[in-house]
Amino acid sequence: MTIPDSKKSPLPLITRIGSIGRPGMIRLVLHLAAITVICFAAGFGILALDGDKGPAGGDHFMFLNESAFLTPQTTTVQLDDAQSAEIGIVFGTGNLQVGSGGDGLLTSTCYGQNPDCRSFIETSASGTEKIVKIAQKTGHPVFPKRWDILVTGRVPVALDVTAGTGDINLVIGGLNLTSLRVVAGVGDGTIDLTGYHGGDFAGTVTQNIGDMTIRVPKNRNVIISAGNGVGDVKATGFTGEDGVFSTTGYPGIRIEVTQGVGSVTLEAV
Amino acid sequence: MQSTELEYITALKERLGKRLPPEEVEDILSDYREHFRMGRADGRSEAELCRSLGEADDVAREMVATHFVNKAGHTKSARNFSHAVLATLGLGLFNLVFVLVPIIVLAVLLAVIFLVGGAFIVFGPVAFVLALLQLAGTPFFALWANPLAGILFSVGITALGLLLIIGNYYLANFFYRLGIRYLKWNIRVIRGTEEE
Repeated sequence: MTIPDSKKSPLPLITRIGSIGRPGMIRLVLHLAAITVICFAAGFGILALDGDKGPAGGDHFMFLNESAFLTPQTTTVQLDDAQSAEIGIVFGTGNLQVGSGGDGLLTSTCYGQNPDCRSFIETSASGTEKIVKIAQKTGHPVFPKRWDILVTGRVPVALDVTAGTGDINLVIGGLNLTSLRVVAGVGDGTIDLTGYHGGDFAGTVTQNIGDMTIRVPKNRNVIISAGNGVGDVKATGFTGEDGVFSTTGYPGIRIEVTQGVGSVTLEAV
Repeated sequence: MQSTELEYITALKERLGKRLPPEEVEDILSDYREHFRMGRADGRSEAELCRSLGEADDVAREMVATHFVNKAGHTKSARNFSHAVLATLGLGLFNLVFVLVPIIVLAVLLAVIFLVGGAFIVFGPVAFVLALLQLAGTPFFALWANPLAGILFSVGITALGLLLIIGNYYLANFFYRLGIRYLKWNIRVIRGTEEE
């Protein structure tokens, strides 16, 4: 039986790959593989040396600039004549970064899809104290949301943070705290009080699921009581046992940590 | 069911003539005429020979499937392969599961790899230009966390895309050969089952 020739393939570019000789193809593949491996290795090497350069200087290791895909929206609450402040932050889903600085009492920058990322802010005053409540509006995120909040260190602040799902990173060594309350749902958390020069305060940290790291200055009097359901408690630079750890002495800063599932790491640095 | 050589050959010619080239139909028919001639010489009746050959419809379907599978085996092309698959599907409803499903799965896999490779080849140069702009201090769209690393990643992504396309070509060739062998095996199994 004679088999008639069929028409040529409709994908000439692809079929041309076959016209390259076997030695030439092996050389090409090896070169491409080498270029791929070297470029990715060098790229990740540069990132590892450079660290993350995200908009808030977080510690996430990523090669794409997250904020390039998100619309930043910045809102500032002025300090006015307030001598102290009470700040409540309610955050649903995403990564929350709280730091010190900014022009006013509070500067909020939200990276997310417009308009569901907009924060809801309510301010009131009680004598010389300014009360600010800031909450994330609900919405379905296309990209992971990130919320950066800067709080002034010029006046004493009572800080209350409630977070749902996502990582929280509180770098609040530059604040002057009168109290601290952190309630986190699911995700890892860091509370960094390194370089803290404010007054003594009492704080509570409650986390359901995730690892929590608390960093305090070792030259301050700090006592931390930590209890968790499932997971380890590790303390570095502290003295103490049975879930109660302290630095140089007491009275001073007192923090009570309640953890559900996950490890608790305490560091005096 | 045909009971004479004339009826059988006529039925076969009618069915094959619609799908196969005339010279090939004539080849097949002459084989069957020879079969009848030798059978009669052995003292067998035409009706008995017709019964032993099976339904002309089934024989025609097998012949068509074998023709297209052989053709696809000789001349590689997506068109020939699809004809072979369609002809094999005609051999039985169960081939919808045993032939069509694996072919679709493999085709989707190849398409996905091709699309990913193509996307990398397109994205790489674009990301490279964006990284250069970012490095030059004119971030039209600051895509990369680090523009220098972004340049390297862009080159790496482009090279990876080319590798995927080349790999996909060889994978497609491999699946093609495998598919043809599978279709031939499928026809043999069906023929064997009918002979039993």
